Amino acid sequence: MKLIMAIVRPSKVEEIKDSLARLNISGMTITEVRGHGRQRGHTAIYRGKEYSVSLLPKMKIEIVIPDDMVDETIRTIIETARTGEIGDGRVFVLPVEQGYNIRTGERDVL
Amino acid sequence: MPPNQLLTIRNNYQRSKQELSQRFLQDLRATDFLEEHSDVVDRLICDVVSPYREKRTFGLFAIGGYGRRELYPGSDIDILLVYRTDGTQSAAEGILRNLIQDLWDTHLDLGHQVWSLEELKELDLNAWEFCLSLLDLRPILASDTMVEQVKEETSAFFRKNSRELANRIVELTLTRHRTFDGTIYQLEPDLKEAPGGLRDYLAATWLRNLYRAEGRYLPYEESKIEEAHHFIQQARIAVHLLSNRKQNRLTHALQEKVAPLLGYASGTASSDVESLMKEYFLNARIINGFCMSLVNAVWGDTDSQLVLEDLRELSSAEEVVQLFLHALEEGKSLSDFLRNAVVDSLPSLSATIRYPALKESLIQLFKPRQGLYRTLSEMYELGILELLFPEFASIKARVIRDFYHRYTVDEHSLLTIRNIEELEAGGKGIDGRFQVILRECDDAYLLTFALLLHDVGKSREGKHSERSARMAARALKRFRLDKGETDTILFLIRNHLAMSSVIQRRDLEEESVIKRFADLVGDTKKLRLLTLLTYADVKAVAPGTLNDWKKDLLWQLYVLTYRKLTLEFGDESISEQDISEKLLSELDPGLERDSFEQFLAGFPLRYLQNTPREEIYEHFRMASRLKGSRPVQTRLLKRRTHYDLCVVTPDRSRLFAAIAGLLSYFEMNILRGYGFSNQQGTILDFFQFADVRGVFRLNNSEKQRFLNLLEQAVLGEVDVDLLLQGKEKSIVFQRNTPGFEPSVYFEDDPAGRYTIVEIIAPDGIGLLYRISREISRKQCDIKLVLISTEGGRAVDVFYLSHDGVKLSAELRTKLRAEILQALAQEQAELI
Repeated sequence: MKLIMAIVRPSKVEEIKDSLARLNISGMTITEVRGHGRQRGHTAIYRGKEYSVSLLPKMKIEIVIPDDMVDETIRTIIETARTGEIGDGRVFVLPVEQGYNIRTGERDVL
Repeated sequence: MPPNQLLTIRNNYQRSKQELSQRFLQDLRATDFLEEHSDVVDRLICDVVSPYREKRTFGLFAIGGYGRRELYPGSDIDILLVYRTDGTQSAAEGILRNLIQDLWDTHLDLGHQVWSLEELKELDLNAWEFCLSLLDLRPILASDTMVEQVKEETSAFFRKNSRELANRIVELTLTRHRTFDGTIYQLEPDLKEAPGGLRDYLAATWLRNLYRAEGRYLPYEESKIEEAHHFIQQARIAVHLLSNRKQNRLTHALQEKVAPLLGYASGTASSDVESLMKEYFLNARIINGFCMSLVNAVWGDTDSQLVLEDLRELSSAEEVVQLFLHALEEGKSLSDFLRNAVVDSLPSLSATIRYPALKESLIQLFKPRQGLYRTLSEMYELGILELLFPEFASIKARVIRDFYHRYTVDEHSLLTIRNIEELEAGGKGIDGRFQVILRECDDAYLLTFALLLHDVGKSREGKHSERSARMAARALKRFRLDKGETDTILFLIRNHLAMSSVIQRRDLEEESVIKRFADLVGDTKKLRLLTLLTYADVKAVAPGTLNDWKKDLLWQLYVLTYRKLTLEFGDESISEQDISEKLLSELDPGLERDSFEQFLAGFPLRYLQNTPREEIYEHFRMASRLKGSRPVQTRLLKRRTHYDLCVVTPDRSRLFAAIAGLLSYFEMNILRGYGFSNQQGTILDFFQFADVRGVFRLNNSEKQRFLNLLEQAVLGEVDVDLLLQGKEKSIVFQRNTPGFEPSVYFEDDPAGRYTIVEIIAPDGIGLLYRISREISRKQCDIKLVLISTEGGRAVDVFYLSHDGVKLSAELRTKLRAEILQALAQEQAELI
């Protein structure tokens, strides 16, 4: 099992959810986060004054999937989340040792 | 329900599904699998639901595909729960909550809808998806009264709204088709959604039921439609089983696995896939034809159909061809009645056909004009085209698996004719330059003959141009075309790849290349026709194949050859000396004469002759700045179709490779590269590339980062190898088409100063970098590189010299080995 953690543009979340659903991935956790990557934020103008936006709003999507689906999942996320402009986000893959369903007490067999 | 009981139910289901799958793999009976799979799910649902049934407060129905008993291994299972709104309502709600949770815990991919009987009375067409799924409603567990009541409500709804629903289905179908460019020809077809897929069959069936339409869906018999449907069902079950989920796209990788599974396992993996896909396209055509005939019936577009009420029967081929000619001139397609008449006449026609009598009608018919593609397609669909040209039958639904040609060979051939037709009609997106050429042709019907037959030799492997020409010769003889006409058509067919080959693999600025091509063509009439044929042929490979870059190159070759053919004596005796003197005489006052003279010394004629004067001055200014702290100067200019990059630097080894590698790193599509050097050892390297991924267009800062990195790469301060690794290792850039063995060919250029090396290899990021790195290691000078990509296949053509002369035999052998080794190493790293 792997945990896929994707930091993406907020506007892309719905589209990503849909394309993951097509891979039969339906369980996911989505969190509003802030951060910056290589672009280190940018400056914006508000009422004539320039101020710096150093931490940009992003969304974090977390999903747990079987090992053999990792490549396809990453490819799907990247294809969907990419606009081509700086700030499209990141995808990380982390190993997961165990997973449990709290209501039924079942352990995941992936 | 207790967890252990649920677990047993779950395991039983898995076991039954496994058994069904095994049986399907043995007997390939799709209908059996789908129905029995749905029966197994029925039983499972009954098991889960039975403890709750005592109360008899609700009814459970299957809807959608499950309702039709057409349940694929990975499909969603859609159910409808209906409850009464009497005193039992609140009890029902509690029960349903527990029931749904139990069904959920069986891990079925369940989609459920809960409606009250009252609510069903108020069905709304806006919830069209749900409404359509009710067309396949099937009771699983419900009392007779409830079944009756639900059926009554839904039937009343369908009766009342049949017209709107039919319109909605037609709209949905056409919208869905548009997302696939309106064609069944998909390299990796979606078996469910693509035109010709299962959804088309379903839409047609629904429309037929809503309309109670009777009749023949020409030109297909009912049994043919069912066979076609069964094939697509088989393929979808296989794809679900192989991918272990709801996957509907028959991807390249899956095609290789599905082919042997469905019994296509007689040849190589590649030819098996070709057979599988041929069968797919033949069947998809039938399903799509079935669907579109009902769509047309609903929309009743009779204005665009030709109706001849007094026609009794068609007794000769002449009459049939005249009928199509008439339809074409009227701008219409045949009515169902006429289509039936053509199909019915077919058996008697083949016995009595007199080909020479058809010659004049065909010449008239083949004149490029709006509607020709539709008429020819209709003739093909009804079997007439094959009657006239039996040669065409050999490429019926022929698939060439090269990941480049999107269409089957027969459809590709017809599309080439559509491209000429569009050129004739003009309008948006049409290249006026080629339209002018077409207008200058007074015998453009020859082009239609050539286009129709140019690929008939593709029925077998190997080089096809000559074979096509031989087959075409037989066809033309049948119609007794004049010798002049025949010769021209055969010339076009035999040489239909010549222009593509020259523009992609030869240096158009070499006088000898143009001379050789002009000798081949012989006269301007043939040149016009061949140019148009090439235009139409390349454009019909796949959308976007004929990009602006290729159009420009094709145009350039046309113009240069035209000039060569019309002006026999050009001023070919011009020398480096002459041009240098001219440049010096017009020198900008701001530039220093002596150093400019030194700068010019040693540059080849090609550079001096073909570079605009202002450019040369600019290169000189850049070269003069090299004496500063950074011995590299760069300039990046955006053009209409591409970017022009110029790098000026003192002689540096591996310069070309470094630039190529860096461009790959920025995901640029390199089109060509060339370099010159002078006696001082100043190097001018030029690259033309397209920003297909929009890296520069979308991110201004990336352009600057590229230029910074470029400077560092040229000076050896950045390791391009290391940069490229991150891309090479990413799954995003891995090929999704199977690789093949790269090959390297050598040839001397006609003028004898260079060796032309042609390398054909699976395309991949950094390919040009790897090849040019090996070339630099062998101390070869790169004069010119031409790059073209066809699907997953890259063709890189290098013009090389070593110590100013062409490559020795020994060096060629070494270079070939090194290049192949470098490419094999890359393959190994990727695996």
